[in-house]
Parts: sequence; C-alpha cells; structure tokens
Amino acid sequence: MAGVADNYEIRIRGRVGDSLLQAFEGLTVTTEPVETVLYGPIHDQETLHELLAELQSLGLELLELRRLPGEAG
Amino acid sequence: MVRNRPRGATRPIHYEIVVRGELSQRFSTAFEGMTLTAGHGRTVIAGPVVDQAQLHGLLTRVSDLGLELVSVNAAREPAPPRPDEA
Amino acid sequence: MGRSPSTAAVVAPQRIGATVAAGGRNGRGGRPRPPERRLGARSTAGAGMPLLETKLSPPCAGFRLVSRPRLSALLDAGAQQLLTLVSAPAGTGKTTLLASWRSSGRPPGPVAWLSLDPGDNQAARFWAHTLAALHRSGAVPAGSPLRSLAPRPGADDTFLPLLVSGLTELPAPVVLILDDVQELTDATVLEGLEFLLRHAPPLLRLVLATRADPPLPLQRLLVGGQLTQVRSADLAFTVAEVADLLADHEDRPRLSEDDLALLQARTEGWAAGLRLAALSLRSQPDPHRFVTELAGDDRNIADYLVREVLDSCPQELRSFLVRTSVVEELHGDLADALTGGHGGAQTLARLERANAFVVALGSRRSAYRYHALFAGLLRYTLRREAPDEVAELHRRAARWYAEHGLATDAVQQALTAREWRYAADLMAEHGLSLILRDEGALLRRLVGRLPAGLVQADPELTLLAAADGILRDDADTATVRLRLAERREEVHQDRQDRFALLLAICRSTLAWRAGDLDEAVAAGQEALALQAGTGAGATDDARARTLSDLGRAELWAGDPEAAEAHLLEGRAVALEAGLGSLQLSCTSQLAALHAMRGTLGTAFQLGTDAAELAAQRGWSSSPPATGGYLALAWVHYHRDELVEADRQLERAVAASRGRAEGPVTAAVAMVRARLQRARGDLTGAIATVAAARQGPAGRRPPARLWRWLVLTEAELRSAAGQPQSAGSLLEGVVDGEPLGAGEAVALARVQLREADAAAAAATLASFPDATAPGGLLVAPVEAWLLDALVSDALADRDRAAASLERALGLAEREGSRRSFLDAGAPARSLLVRYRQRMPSSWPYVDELLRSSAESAPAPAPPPLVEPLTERERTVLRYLPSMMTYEEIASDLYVSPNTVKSHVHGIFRKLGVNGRRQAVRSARELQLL
Repeated sequence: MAGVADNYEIRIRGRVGDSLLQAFEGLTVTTEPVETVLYGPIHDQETLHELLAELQSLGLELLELRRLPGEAG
Repeated sequence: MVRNRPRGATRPIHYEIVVRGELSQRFSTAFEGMTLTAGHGRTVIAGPVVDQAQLHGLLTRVSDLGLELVSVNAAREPAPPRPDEA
Repeated sequence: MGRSPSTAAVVAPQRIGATVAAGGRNGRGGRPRPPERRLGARSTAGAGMPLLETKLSPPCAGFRLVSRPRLSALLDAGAQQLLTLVSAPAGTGKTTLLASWRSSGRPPGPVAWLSLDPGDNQAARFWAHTLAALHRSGAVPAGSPLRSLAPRPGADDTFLPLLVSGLTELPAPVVLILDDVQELTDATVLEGLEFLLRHAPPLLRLVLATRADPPLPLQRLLVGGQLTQVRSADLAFTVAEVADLLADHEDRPRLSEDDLALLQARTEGWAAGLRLAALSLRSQPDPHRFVTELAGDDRNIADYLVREVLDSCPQELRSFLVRTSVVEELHGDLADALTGGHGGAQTLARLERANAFVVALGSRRSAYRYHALFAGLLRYTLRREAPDEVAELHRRAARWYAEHGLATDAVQQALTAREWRYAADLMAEHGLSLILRDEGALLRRLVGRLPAGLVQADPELTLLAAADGILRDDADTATVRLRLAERREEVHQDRQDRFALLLAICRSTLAWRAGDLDEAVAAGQEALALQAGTGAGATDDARARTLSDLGRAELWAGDPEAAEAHLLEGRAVALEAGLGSLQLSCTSQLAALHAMRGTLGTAFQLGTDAAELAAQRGWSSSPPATGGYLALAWVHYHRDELVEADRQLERAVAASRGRAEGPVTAAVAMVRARLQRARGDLTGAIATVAAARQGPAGRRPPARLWRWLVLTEAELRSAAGQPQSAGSLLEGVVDGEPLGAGEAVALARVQLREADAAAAAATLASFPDATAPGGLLVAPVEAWLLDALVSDALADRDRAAASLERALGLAEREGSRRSFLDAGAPARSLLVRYRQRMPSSWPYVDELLRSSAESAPAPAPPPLVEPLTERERTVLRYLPSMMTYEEIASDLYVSPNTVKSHVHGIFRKLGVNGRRQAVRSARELQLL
C-alpha cells in the first residue's frame, strides 16, 4: 500500500480505562454504552493485525471492525 | 468449529469476516467450520464462533494468507448453531 | 508447588510495599555473577545452539492452586488421545492448570514441557528445544535414536521422519506440553507440527496451550476422535471455585454468597481478574463495597483491577513495577539497571512470595517473569506516565543483555524500542556468532525493519543485508549488497576488523557458490588471517567457519596439501565447539580429498563417518553431506560395486539440491559419467559430461573444471568412435594454461586411443607428476596404467612393466579394479603379456583377468593394436565350434600346425590364453 492509510472503526465490549488508552496510540477512543469505539488510520494489514493481537492479549472482546475507505486521514 | 461436547455455558455467536478478493472453495480448509461466499470482489467468511480464541485464530489465518481484512461483524444476539447464508 | 495457607506470605498491597522497602534498605548491591550461573544455565543442543533451561519447565505459580477436579478430569480424558487443545485468552489459568496437572501424577507417562517464545519461529531452534524437553522428561531411553538426533539449520528433509520414527519406538506414553503456541507463526515450524500430528506416533500425547486457535487441521482431528478441547468457558471459575480461590488468600471468608456471585459474573470467571481482585480485597476494609463498586463500573476489568493494585503500592514499588515491565525475563541486577536502583533481586523475591503476579522461572529462582497480562498493562501504564523513558529503558535492557553475552535478547530489545541504529550496532558488534550459526530469523527481522535509506547509507548495515541474502540463498541480492558494502574506511575504527572479517567470509561463500575458486581461496585466506590475527572474531565459531570454507575452496582449486591442513583443524575446532554442521562439512570434504588422492581406504572411512554423522542428526539431505557421499560413490565405483556407487551418487545429488555449487556439480557429473560408461552407456556418459560442460543455467563451471570436463568428453567421444568431435573439442583447450594431472591423463588417453602414442607420452612427460596424487578425481592407478600402455605402444617394455607393476601394487592395496576394467582389452592384453614378468602379482592379475572377462562389454570396442589377418579371422570363425584343430585344418586344407600357429596369433592379439576366452573376447570386439 502506498503511503495513504485507510480509516478503521473497531468496537470492543466494555469500557477502556486510561492506561489501556496507551494501547491505541493514533486512534480516537470514544465510549458508547457498553462499548468502546476506536477510530482512526491504520497503515497496513500488519499493523492492523498487531492491534488485533493486542486486543486479544488484553482480553478485550472484539465485536466489530470496519474499514472506511476514502476517508484518508 | 463445533465443540466436541455440549456445554451449557455459552452459545456460539455468528461472525462474518469480510476480506478483499474472491477466494475459491480451496480455502475452506483454512477456515474450518465456516462457509465462504465470494462475490463483488469480496469474500465473506461466516459461521459460528465459540469464543475470542477461536475468532483470533481465524483472524490470524487471514493475516497469514496475506488477505486484506475489510470488516468483522458479530451478531449481537447468539445465533443458532447452523451457519447462515451470507 | 503446594503451599499451605498458613505459611503463605499473604500480604496486602501496602504491606507488600512495606515488606519490600524494609528488605530493600538492608539489601546489598552485590556484584553480578557470571551469566551462565544466573540466567538458568545454557547448554548446547546438538545443532550447536544454546538452550534456554527456563523454557523447559513451567513457571512456578506464586499462589496455591485451586483444586479443580472437573478440569483435571478433562485433561485426563484428553491424554487418552493424540491432541488436547487448551485455547483461551491470556490470564485464564491455562499454564497454571497444566503445570499442576503435570505434577499431579495423573498423566499417563512422563510429561515434557516447553514454553514457547517468538524465537522458536525457527525450525532448528524449535525442534532442538522440543527434543531437549523430551529428554528432560525422562521419556527417552538410553538406546533411542532420539538421543543423538538434532535438527540442522536450513532445509532438512530427513529430520521429521526420524523424529516420528524415534517417537514411535518409545516404550511408554509421553505427554508433550507446548505452552504459548500462539507465538508460532513460522510456516515451516507449523508444517512440522502438522507433520507430527498427521503421522501420530501412537504413544505421543500432545497438549497445546494457546491464546488463539492455531492453524492446524483441528477439524480433521476432531472428526477422527483425536482431539479434546479445553476452552475459556471450561476454564472460567465457577462461584464455588471463586470462593476457594479467595479463601486461599485469606484466613476467613469475607464475602457473602451474593457478592461471590457478583464477582464471578463481573469477572466472568476470569482467573487473572479474580486474582487481581483478591489482591485488592486483602486491603479493603469493606469488601462488600469493593465488589459492588467493581460490579457497577463498566471499565475493562483488567484495567480497573491493575489500577487498583498499583494505586495502593508505595511510589517506589510502583515505579519498580512499571519500569521493569519492558523486559520478558527479569533478573535482580537487570532490574537494578533499569530502575537505576539496587536491591532488585530482593524486590523480585518478595513480590513473588507476596503472590503479586511475579512468577519465578525454573527451579533456581534467579529469573522472574511478570504474568503476561500484568506486564502488558504495566507497559501501557509506563507509556502513559513516562513516555520519554521508554526508549531509554529498552536501551538499558539491551545494554545489559549485550554485556552478559546475550546478543539475541539485546537485539530484540533494541528492535522492540525501534532503535534500528542501536540494533544494527549490536548486531555488528555481537552478532557475528549468530550469523555464523545461521540464526537467520533474527537477522531477517532486523534487515526487514530497517528503512532502505538507512541501510544504503551505512556499510555495516549493507553488509548485514548481504549476509541475510546469503543465508536465504539469494545470491543475486547478496552479491549486489556485498559490492555496495565494500567501504571499510567508513566504518568505526574499533569495528573495522570485525567488519572486514564478515565481509571476507561473505565474499568467500558467494565465490564458492558461484564456482569462482580462485576468489573463494583468496577471500578465505583473508578471512582466516583476520580471524587469527586481530581477535576480531576470536571465537571458535569464526575459526571453525573460516577454516572450513578455506579448506573446501583450496581442495577444489587444486591445493590438497593446504586444504588438508585446514580441514583437519577446522574439523577439530568444530567438534570442540559443538558445531555439528561444520564438523560434517569438514569430514565430507576430507573424504573427497582422499578420493581424489586415490587413498580409497581412508576416503571410504571418512565418507562413512560423514554419512553416519549426517544420518544421526537428520542432515542427510543437506549440502554439507554432499562431499562424503561423492567420495563413497567414487570408492564403490573403483571397487566395481556399481549398484552401491549409484546409491551414494543419488544421495549426493539429493544433498546438494537446492544449492548449485559449481565444483560439486561438476564432480557429480564426472562420477555419473563414469558409472554410465562402466555400464556400457557411452552415449549417456557423453551427454552427462556435455551438459555439465555447459553448466547449470548456461553458467560454465570454473575454468579448471571446465577444461577437465572438455577433455573427458573428448576421451569419451574418441572411445565412441567419434574422432572428429574429439579432435575439435581438443582444439583450443590444449594450448594455454598448463595442464593439471587429471587433464593430462584425459588428454593422453585420447591421444593413445587415436594411436598417437608418441603424443601421449609427450603429454605425460610434460606433466611428470601425472602420477602424483592431487589430480581431480584421477586415481594414481589410472595414471600408472596409462603410462604402462603408452610405453608398451612405444615398445619400451621395461618401462611398461615397471609402471604396470606400480599400478597393480596401488590397485591391490586400495581395492581398485575399475581402472583396469575401464581400460578394456588393451589393459587385458597388457596383463596377459606381462604376467610372466611379475610373479608376485599373479594372484591379483588373475583376479583382474577373471573379472574383466565377466564385466560388461563396451559397445564400441577399441580397435586391436594389432588387427587379425585374413587367415586368422577365418580360423577364428571355427573356434566357437567343437571342432578340433585337426578337423579345422582338414576343413581348410591346411596342416594342423598352420591352424595352431594361427590360433596362437589370435590368442596373442586378443590377449587371451584359451579358446573359450578367445571366443568371448572376439564377440566383445564384435569380430564374431
């Protein structure tokens, strides 16, 4: 992929506290009831999968993931 | 993947993983227990997922195969154990 | 691992701090002890790779384990089948459960344990540790082939089947637990595991503990009734088990049934969450309120609870926890290096005793690890609270590892911190050993992460990228990078020698593979000088490698004396340093050396040694074994054991596959052509040599070898009755460079065959040492025999007899018959005619004559030196019949004496001394 990253929206169950925010550098974190939404650019699939692996390590339940092309950030 | 004995605790949740590209049925062995439906430049890998360990196993497979992840969706309510058509 | 509640040092978090602080003030700094004794001793597996002892046993739990019989029963049932999969997220208690089951006496046999880490994504390392785990468990009896089995770095076809067969032969069930299987991402390693599962040794019970389902054929195993699963739903603590867990941390239960249920629901039975809650509960005056607040908070449970624990720590301890989270494996003085304080060892010990998510690794308790999830959360806390310190902490860790000789860990730390420059520096400084031992994975990761601009600008990084290319067998990339790297003057002065050494080693290796022997020797000599002189690579690894490479190049470049000295020393150093692969390479090359020299007995012994070494370690199909098989093929060929020779040749081909190396390919072609010819397939032999002459992918073999191949082809064509082709091949080859021994012999043979004995003599004379050892795959026997034939043709009978006797002596001593057989009828004639003059050799001569009569005829027989006359041919036609000489005479209207004298003439010219032999010979020569 050439330099432009796609934006992704990732929803996980539960609320994420301050420390864990550090896990999602570069992404915006908002909380909706019962869910946390991570939003922002992810540069390549490798980075995406590293993020997913980290979610797993932290015991965070992945509910949804969506790529949002054309919203280059 | 189907469990080897009935468990009372949780019912599987229906997940749909969408990747870019149209995969042939050859890939169905890579995603055991899931159905693959290809069309419109995408493939939907769908089926019952018992827990996060199984889900991440599938996502790792996607990564290993060099496939581009487009979306992941969980049905919010537990699904019936039979996989649906995408 | 059991510990009764009354003696457990159960301390509330603040009291943890108090205890530790008290200890800390009294603690002594202490000098660091040598690494080997501190870091769980590293021993060496057969592949010459360091073993990490700490991986071979489960971490000690810092807490008493809740008894969970329903899970133990599940594991017991699983141990009746091939595979048990324990797949659940971090912190669900997998490791704890398996560790306790392992020592419970319930498993059906000894239990081997291996904790996996990202470094196991290299097949050789993974299997070396797996074998070590099996040995450690006591499951492998003394006579088992598994005892000496070792994986070789690089492609290896035979290791897995040997492993499976070794496991199948085990007398009793063995359980192998692999923990943290999610760390395995390498396709080769996973394929190996799949192979193991597919060929299921009946007594093997595999238990895989992982955070996510691994890419193995689980469905098939499930359907086949060979799979038991334990998943997070199974591992979740029930309310009763929660009560047990909490009770363990306290003297009396303080939570009501409702609160317990609430806690269980909120944590979803998650073990790590429960233990964190338990830690916090100890210091809560109002446990009920704590649980209620916890239940009412919707934050991620781990996050919440770790915060609770950290918040109740004294600042110093909190800082300790957060800052030491950057490394996987902790030691007291490493902790001190990170925090800039002292007393780290005591702090860790006390933390472990206080059940605070610190586990001791191995039985010696000098190394510790934070529970993975806890460490992750600590790291995030660090990033939040002190982001500027992160890089520095990783650097300190890297430095500590580097100082303790742990290059791999040091580089990994630098990579984690994304300190490319520092990682590359470490690699350049300390990583020479890693490169020499083919630890390609680490180098690959480093090179893969470096930005291209950075690499180009820096000769050391470029050189590392070249080395990476070589390890991956990507010669083109490596060559380009190597050229770009040749800027020694830009390198820091202290590191110039190391740089030059690695550069020379790379150049030598690439030259060898390309078949440029002169360059391989030159670079090899430079590497050896650098290694010996400056102490730059003053390690056994470097010495063994440089000696081995140089010896090999010298051998094929035609300097066997120097080669022998270097190979012998190289082999000794490799043996001493446990570098099995280099030991094999040296032994193989020594075998080839003796084959060339004609000392067939020694060649056979060395070749057998090499083959055995390769077989033991599962390296039979790897390049270092090639020379040994070639030598064996050559010896068998000379002993006229053609079937055996074929077999060894095929093994040589299989071993060299995947890596074309000029000299080896040419040598294989030579031996193959000889075998074809011995079987009478001259056409095939010519085709083989012609193809080798062109070279693979149109790349001609090195000059000397090419010439030798051309001359051999000329000789074969001449034998096939194609003097024109032979002649044209000779043109342009004969002039120019002086001939080597092998080439001189081949040329003289052609000349003799073309009935130009004088030219043949001149050729041999111009190379007076044609009969000296050292020619390329020309046994001295052949040379002496040729000399005898040439001399005989020139009627120099005395010299012919002397040379023949010499040849016979050598042949008898080395068991070499093929030289005589290949020389066909002329040799036979020689033996027959000179037999009288060497009574001491009669038994051997007769033996040779017998076997030459039995051996397969060549389809294009050489013309007789003295052709039969018309009358002799007439008489010859009668010989197959039962007619007596009187009857023949009568038929021909001549006297019996005339017939007899014709018959004698026939015998003489055919080189036989009997009627039946005459018939046979005549038929071979197609005179009948």
